[in-house]
Amino acid sequence: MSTTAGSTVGETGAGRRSLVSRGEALGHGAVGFITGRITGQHEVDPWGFDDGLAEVADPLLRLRWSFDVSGAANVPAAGPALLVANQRIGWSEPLVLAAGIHEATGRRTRVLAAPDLAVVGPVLRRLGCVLHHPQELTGVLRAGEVAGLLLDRQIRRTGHVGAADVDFLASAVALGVPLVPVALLGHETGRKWRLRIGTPLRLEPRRNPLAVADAADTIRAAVQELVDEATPPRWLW
Amino acid sequence: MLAGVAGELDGGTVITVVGVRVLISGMGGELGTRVATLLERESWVGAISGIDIDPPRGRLRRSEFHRFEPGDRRRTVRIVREFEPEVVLHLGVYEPHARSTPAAAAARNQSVAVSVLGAATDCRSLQAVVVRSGIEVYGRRRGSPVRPDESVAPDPTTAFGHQLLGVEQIATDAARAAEVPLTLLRLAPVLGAHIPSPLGRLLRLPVMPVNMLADPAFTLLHVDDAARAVLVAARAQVNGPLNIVSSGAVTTVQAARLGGRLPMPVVGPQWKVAALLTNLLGAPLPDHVLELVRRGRVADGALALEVLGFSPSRSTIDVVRRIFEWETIEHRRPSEAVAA
Repeated sequence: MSTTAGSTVGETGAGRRSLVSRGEALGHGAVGFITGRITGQHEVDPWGFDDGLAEVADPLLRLRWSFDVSGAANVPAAGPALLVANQRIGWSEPLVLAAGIHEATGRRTRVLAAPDLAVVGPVLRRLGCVLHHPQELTGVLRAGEVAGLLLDRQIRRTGHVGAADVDFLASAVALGVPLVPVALLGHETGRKWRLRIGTPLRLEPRRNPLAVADAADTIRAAVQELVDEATPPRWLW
Repeated sequence: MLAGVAGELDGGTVITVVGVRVLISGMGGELGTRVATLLERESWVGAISGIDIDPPRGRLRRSEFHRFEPGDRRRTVRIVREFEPEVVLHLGVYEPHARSTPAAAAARNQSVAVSVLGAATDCRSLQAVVVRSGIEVYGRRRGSPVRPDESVAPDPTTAFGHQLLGVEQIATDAARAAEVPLTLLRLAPVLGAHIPSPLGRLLRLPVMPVNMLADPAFTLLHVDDAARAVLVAARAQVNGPLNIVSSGAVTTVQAARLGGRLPMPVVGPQWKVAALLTNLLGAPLPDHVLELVRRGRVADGALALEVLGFSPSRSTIDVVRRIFEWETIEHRRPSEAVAA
């Protein structure tokens, strides 16, 4: 390998050198990945997330989707945050949200989208999703992670975002975690997705049901506003 | 919290033993013996008394031990009342297929809890109770949280989980009657190199059955960390349940591969065949271990860190590694002086 690399570098210069070193790194990475899985020397977190596997899956997801992300600075660089995003059918949105945010910010988003059903649930959990349960959200936020919550589905009404589930928001409000509105704009059959990330809604830690209901309305309105801003008005049809 | 116990000798000399009187049920188990060993080093602990159906698994220097038969409730009650404990550490919880058959474990868990905790309630000296429970009480019903914390209501889905919940309920009633704090330590599956455990035996089989449709994660606790957790809880005397789990997790396939074992994918009715085969190979598969292998078992241990300031020193992956590492036994020759 090194002999081949040396002769190639000598022939074509710095650009090829970079390509070869990246290839070598990829080769070593692949060998390390496979060896790690065979010997069991890899890390899995308590929710089942396998960071090494997610790193392998990222290029595959980018083959399927491309992301245009704006407002990435609104995602906190460290500490917990709850991203609240819209969804239509909800098949692509969990992975689009997670992959888009990772590409733009480098942070992994634990989207509450894994069903408790083999084979889909375990695979999604291995890629970073967590079970769709309020208790799971509490644990993820308490661990300092970025969580992703999808609003209710809106299959028929294009351009309208669904309601936020107060059971889920209650834990975020109780912990005083910033709520970040995210508009997901794209189609199940399309490749390109736009992610518009809005200004975080920062709340004082409270256990008041009224505060939770207010937060649910506010974050839903914020997502709707982002969707409206990014979608041109349809006057003609 | 610290207390003194005074007594008078025949000659009229008054002696005072400063320290808390601690009763350990289940002292004959690996965990009970280690807790007793740790307590013996503590200056705040006075007299230590232990009861169990088996003798301790190590040498104890200043603890007294009482062996009892499982059905002999009168003797158990008498031992507890005569000792007049201030702190009761109820570790007499018997895991099915660890050292007891499932039927014997169920009967012992119930009868020992009733005898020990019931008798302790009558002692005016009682100040606190610590009970060994397990994260099996949360169950793994479909749709239930994968990583429950203490706010999640127990909903056991296995026989051992139900037994642990029964012990918790007996302890809760006893602590309420005595008006003392009760700490329910919900331990992750406790493993160690020499711990009799159905999960430990399963992990050591050359071929380990794993779920073909999922590779769920589970968390463990090393027996030394479990013993330290009991010690810290005995000193802190807080009220309520606390999950005690190691950091991180391993999957079933990963655990098998860490020990160089071969994972055998199993699905549906094949699990019955797998259970039969593992039983024949000396590793019976009780339903709580089967559930762990098929559905995983983790819990959130953040509250223990917050309340007790306790976090296990070994990660789950370290615990798995250690059960495959057999320490070399050093056979020491007797010295000439001793031999002579």
